Parts: sequence; structure tokens; C-alpha cells
Amino acid sequence: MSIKQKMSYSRSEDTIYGLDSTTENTIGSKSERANKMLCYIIHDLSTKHTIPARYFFHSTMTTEIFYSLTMNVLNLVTNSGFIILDLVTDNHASYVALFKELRVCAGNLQNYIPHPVLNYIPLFLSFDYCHAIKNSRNLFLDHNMCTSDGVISSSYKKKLYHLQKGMPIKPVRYLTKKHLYPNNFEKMNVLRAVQIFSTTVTASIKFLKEAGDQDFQEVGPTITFMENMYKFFQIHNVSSKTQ
Amino acid sequence: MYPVKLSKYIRSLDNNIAPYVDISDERLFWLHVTFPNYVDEIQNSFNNAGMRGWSKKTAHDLKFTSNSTYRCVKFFYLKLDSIMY
Repeated sequence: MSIKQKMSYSRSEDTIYGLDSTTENTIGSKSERANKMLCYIIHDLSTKHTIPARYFFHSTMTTEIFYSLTMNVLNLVTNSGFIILDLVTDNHASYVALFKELRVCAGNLQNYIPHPVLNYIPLFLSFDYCHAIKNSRNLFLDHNMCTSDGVISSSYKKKLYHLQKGMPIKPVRYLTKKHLYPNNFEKMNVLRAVQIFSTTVTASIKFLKEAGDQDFQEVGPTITFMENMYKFFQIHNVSSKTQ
Repeated sequence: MYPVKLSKYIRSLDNNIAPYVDISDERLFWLHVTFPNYVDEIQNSFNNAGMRGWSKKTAHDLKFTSNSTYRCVKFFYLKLDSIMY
């Protein structure tokens, strides 16, 4: 994640904080100011535990350094008794390059590689489904798409929004301008991205079609798209056996 | 008699968020076959219709994640017990 550049000197430790820390384990060993933070987090699958395993402050970082840091963290965490099964990142270009490096080094171009530390299990590689759903939402709002059945368009949702605007009781209570016309900051919100595809919106649009509204007669492919994207999110959102 | 605290997926009547307990779960097939095919269908159709689809990167990432989850869940189901115990 991007962070604000800031440097400070600790007199008691005789250390400058805020410099790039990717080449050494100590903070402030490289004379470049850090403007990003790379954080490795362990997310437990059976219980609700999220533990920050390691973090680094950095500026620019090559794939080789990134690869080396990742292998170090994998070793460290595995030696502490954790079994890492899935490496999940967002789909930023640097993470895609890391996956490529991992796959090439393992001689395997699949979405899993032999575990670098534990040789009896694979290590799965995956992109964060929350980012995938946000990307899809952005493209869906940006332009029309199509399948062999017809056009997929976000205009139906915008029509629904304007239709219910003056109503005291709304079919989709939470549908706001932030859902349909998000600015760059609002685009980061996952909940609103998921709500765009939720069953409440789908059901309302379906109802308008069945009620004979002329504007909603060609809505079939859009509904299929929304249902598929919502299912994609829901299937990945299974986090524990007690959920 | 119902347990006092029902699981979320039962309360919400949503099978998509139910725990994975069966290797023949319909969701695994959906992740492995149906969804990647749907992504491909959109990517193939928009060229013919002169429209835009997903970006190449997003389409690839969706399929990659979908396939990875399928393999990961399958692995949990088939092998995890032998690793942990």
C-alpha cells in the first residue's frame, strides 16, 4: 500500500525511520525514502485469526528482491509452525510478476507450485477475490459488454436508481449514487461493489421486466452477469465451517 | 429440534456460503468449468459485436482465481486430514 513519505530520527536508538527497509532486516539501512509498505499477513482458515507476519517499507522494488523477501517470509512462518497453503495477493503488476517468478522458478506454469519449504504439499497462488469483484464492477459501470444472448449493461441499474429516487419505499434500499457513480476513493469500498451484484438488485430488475416495463425487456444477459459475479464472490466468501 | 444458533448460510438460505463438505459439490464444478467458460464467452463475443469486454488482465485474473480456489478446496477435502493428523 502507498504511504506518506516521512522521516524521523530516534535519538535513543540512533536510527532514522522512514527509509527503505527491503534489503536488510533493520529499518533505515538504505538511503531511499520509503513511500510504500509491503505487509505479509497470515489468515487462519479454521478460526478468525489474522496475524501480520512481516512488513517492509520500500520505494521501488525489483521482482528479484520481492521474490527473495517472499521466500524469506515463507521460511520464517513455516519454521514457526504455520502451514502456508495459499498465497493471495491483489492483481497489481508487481504481484503478477512475483507469481510468474514463482511459477518459472518452480518450473510449473499452473496456479499452484510445489511448496518451497514443505515438499509434501503444493502452494496455491491466487488473486484476491475482492479486487477481482471491484475490477469487474468498474468495467461493468464503465462500458457495455455482451454475450451471445445480448448486451450486458449497467444502464438498467441506473434506470432503477432514478426510478426509485422519489419513492418513500424503495425496492433496493441501499442503492445510492456512490454505488453507480463512485469516485476513485469510493471505488475502494468492497461492500458497495458486492451490493451492485446482490440478489436484491437482481430481483428488482427481474420484477420490472416481468411487470412489463419496456425499458427492462432486454435485461436477461445483464441479470445472468450479475448473478454470476455475485455467485463468484459468495463462493469465495466461505470463511469457516461455522459461518 | 433446531440448534439455538443457526449457521449463517442456513439463516440466509444461501447455499453458496455453506461449508464445503463434499467433493461433488456443485460449486466446485461451477468454479472449474461454468465460470471460466462464461468469462471466455464474454471475451469471445465482444470482439464479434464490436464492443468491449473485460480487460485481458481482469479476465485472466478471474479465471486464475476461480481455478485456484477449485484446486485448493479439492486439495483440502482430499489431502488435508493426512497432513494435519
